[in-house]
Amino acid sequence: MNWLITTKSGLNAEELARRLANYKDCEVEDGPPIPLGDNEQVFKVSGPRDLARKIRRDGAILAVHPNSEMELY
Amino acid sequence: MWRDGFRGQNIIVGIIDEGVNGDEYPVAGGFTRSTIRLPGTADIDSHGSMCAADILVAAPAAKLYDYPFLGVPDSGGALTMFQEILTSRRLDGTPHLTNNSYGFMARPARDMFPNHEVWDIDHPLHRKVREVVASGCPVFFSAGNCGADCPDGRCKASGIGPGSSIHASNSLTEVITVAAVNSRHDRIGYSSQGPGGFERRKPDMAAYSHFFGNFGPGRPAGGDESDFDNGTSAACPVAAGVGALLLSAFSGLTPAQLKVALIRGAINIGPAGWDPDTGFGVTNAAASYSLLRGIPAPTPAVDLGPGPESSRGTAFDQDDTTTTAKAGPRRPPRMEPHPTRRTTRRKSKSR
Repeated sequence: MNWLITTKSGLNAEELARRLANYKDCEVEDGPPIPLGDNEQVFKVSGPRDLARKIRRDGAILAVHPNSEMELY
Repeated sequence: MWRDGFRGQNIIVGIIDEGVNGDEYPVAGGFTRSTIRLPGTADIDSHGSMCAADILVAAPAAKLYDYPFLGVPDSGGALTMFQEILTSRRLDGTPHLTNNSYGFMARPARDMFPNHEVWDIDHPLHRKVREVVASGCPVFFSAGNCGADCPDGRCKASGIGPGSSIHASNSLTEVITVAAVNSRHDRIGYSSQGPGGFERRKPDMAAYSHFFGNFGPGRPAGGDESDFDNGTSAACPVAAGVGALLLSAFSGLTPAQLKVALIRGAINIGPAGWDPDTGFGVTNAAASYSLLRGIPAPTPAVDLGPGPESSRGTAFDQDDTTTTAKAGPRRPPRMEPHPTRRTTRRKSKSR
């Protein structure tokens, strides 16, 4: 399943990947994170369906949201 | 507005969609960092090309920025493109507004997916859309095609009908949400119905769909009379084109001012004021232009009337179109010629 993980600015993809290493089949998408607000950023991540429920928000990882498919109207 | 020299010139509309054909439509830029799809390289029968054609109905001199979904449309892809728009605007103020003819056709169970795009107003995509609007860029969204009378075959039961079919970013207070009507001012049966999931008074307005724009006899993507631009996907860029037209005359309009001008100029076709089928009525460029110029509109004034309570307030608290009207319209620059269109017919594809 695809996710959007919001972190504090400054956390790089390698550090995020290290934090996600305990969760099965997590992969951080290549490319820079997308800035959000003044001091947050968003990474695209693929991972298990229960990632949002399991992941620990630790001050660096702030939120986990689904990256859901949409339709063209 | 055309007689006064305003045809959308000096305005760039950003289209987040499947991609736009730049051989036919005036693609002037967009998302250039992809190795998968460059701006302007989509097929002529792409969904984004339809949106391009429909923007140019009202604003034939506007230019376009192409922000294609790089694969399946998803909120992460839209987030990327909205950030690209924000970055571009910080550099040179373009694009001036955006068109978004996509969304969700179902609502997942809230208790199982509480932070899904449909339920969580602070989903990163919605936060980014609000950033774009706050930067001064009006954002137009289609209402959706899951109206109760004739829902699109892709709609799920959870996302059909009044109160269930306008949601996620399409229902944010800050955006302009557009339903679909035909030329007789009937709401088209698939057009999604309010109240919206976040802002309850959605849609904001309606615009025309079901016409020969990109598709149809003699149109760029070809086809016969059974092929035509359709969906709230077509209605939204028609309204966005009117927005581009107004911005070409009143470049200082904020997104809220533009929204109020469009709403106050709309032709009310349902109950007085707002209604969940067509919002405040059908977009009327001439009336909105007259209101901004401070002269009586050629159509009856819209009665904003009572409506369902908004979950986060509405944009109607910011009614300062008279301030803009006093400043007067920009001096119209030299008119550009009509864009030419190929008339070669192509075999239409199903969409």
